[in-house]
Amino acid sequence: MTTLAVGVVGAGWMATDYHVPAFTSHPRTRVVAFAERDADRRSTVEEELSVPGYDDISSMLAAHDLDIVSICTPPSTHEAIFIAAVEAGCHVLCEKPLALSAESASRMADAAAAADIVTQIGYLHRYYRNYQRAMTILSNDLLGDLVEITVAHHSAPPSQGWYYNPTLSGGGVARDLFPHSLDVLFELFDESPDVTDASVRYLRDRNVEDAARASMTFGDVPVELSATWTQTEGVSRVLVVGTEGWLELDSKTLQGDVHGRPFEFQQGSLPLVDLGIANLFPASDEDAHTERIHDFADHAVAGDPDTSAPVGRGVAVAEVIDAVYERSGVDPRGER
Amino acid sequence: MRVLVTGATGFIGLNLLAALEETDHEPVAMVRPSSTTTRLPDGVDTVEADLSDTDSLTTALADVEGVVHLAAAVYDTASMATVNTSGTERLVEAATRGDIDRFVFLSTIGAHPEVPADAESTYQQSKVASEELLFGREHPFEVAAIYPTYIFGPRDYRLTRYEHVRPIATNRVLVPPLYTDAKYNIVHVDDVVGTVGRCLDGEATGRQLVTGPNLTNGQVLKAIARHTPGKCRVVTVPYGAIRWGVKPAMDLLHRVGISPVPGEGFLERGDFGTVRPALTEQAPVDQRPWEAALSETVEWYEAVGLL
Repeated sequence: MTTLAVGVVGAGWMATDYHVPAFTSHPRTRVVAFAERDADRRSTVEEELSVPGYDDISSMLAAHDLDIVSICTPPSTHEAIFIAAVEAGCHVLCEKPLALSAESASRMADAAAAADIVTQIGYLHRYYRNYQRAMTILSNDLLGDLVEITVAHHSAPPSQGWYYNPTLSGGGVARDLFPHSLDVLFELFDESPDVTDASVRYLRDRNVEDAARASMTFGDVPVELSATWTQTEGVSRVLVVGTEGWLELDSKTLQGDVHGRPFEFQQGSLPLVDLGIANLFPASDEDAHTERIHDFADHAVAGDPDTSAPVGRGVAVAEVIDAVYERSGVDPRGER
Repeated sequence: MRVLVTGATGFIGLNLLAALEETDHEPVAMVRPSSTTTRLPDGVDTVEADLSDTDSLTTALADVEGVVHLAAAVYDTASMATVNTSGTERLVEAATRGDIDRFVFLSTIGAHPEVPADAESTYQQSKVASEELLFGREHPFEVAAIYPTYIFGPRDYRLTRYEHVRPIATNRVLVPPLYTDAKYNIVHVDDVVGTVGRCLDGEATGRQLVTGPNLTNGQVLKAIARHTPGKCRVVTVPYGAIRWGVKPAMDLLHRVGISPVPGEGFLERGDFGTVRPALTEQAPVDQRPWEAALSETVEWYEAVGLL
């Protein structure tokens, strides 16, 4: 059985905590090299992983016959790395946000289209079991006709400096957090929304916005998105209202009601015991990060480009986020 | 035969439309402007009409030869008299003026003349009131009325049977007060829609019972448990244990503020459609087993993400 050789670009926490362990635990992929610009970090990780590190993607591609490149660097670097990997014939898993703008994302999509490769953007939410269960409930029309959706995603302010540098990040919290929710919404509606209103705020006098709101319509369903970098422990919650019921979920709890019949799941599971006045849920081994990376690896092994979120999804998401900034009257890539 | 189906977006309606796809009958789904039509099979004809609006019914009946009248207010007591009785009357009258060959009415077990009706049930009384309308007079079309007991099956979008399944799926041991005493007569929704088909074919007319065997609480709950994820063990206890054990215990828990309700409700003895022995297991079709009705309901809840 052949295994696919993986090169990881960027050796930050996303790479060492998630990408490297997941490609290592997948039976058909192995990490053979990584690239990291920072020399200190490179030697630390080289020692930790016992695989060679390179100072950029081109030297890594020159030294190894890679099948997969996974990109865990800041957004401003994605386009060049992605295109280099694609031109080398590699399948690509790229962390979100895909690019600084929809234009940049489109150039990446064009490059991928010209090559016979598999791509996936690293959206996470859809891999939580609650989200998968909610998608099943919604795609089976259990709530009747959808009336409205509200998404609130409030996380801790990121610790790395590049998030606050608009030329590296392509914007603030909207660019950072909206992609996860938009990916799920695109999956649910299978069409692009109209952004009808949007605004951003600068709560902590940073160079990028740390609060963003957007109103959009998918077909005739209004959707409200709100995101901030304000919390110690983040919360990301979705409320879906239909003509015959509702459901609300975050990654831990999914609750809802259809025609007055309530239901509740935790991490996708029913209770072990439900006495009406108290309930107990089973312990969960859920690991959405590993699942998304394994899902990509499965597609790469099969040569199946129809991943959960190919690069085209990344373009669609970037278009919405660009529209949010335009509606807000700010240039996400410029200084304030 | 081209057939107008009222209540097409309901539980039996959706199952009927799915079943009619395999036959020569061509359904026209009568929908209200507020109806959710996304669940209708692809390509099925629809017509907007309302049982409260005679003109709309006349238009809806213009190019059909048959009527299957499933629409009814089942849970909203306030609308039962207007929808179930007056609505049926308007539909029958419109059908009389139209060019209709067959009229199939979905009644309920308690409205059958040989089954004692529950005087407390507004729903049953509303169906009893339709009896006279259908069988007390001459019609220019053949009339069939179907009297099913407690129906189980897929496409239960209103989750009307979920309360029987969820406690089993969410507990490893099921023991009172997690369930109350009850008895059942269960039929598969396929038997009901199959009977509608026989009536449309002209092979069954008049009153048609669709009944299964009478079943105990233990039989039903254990069958559900066999097909539900989680491998719940159902413990059946004699009613006396509920009366003298569970009720006082719940009263106590209520007094100390743990249970939101006192024990009285747990004494309830439900009867979901049982009939006298001579009337069990009757239908003008080859019947599906009652256990399949339960297992396919559970499978459907699983498929749509609710289990």
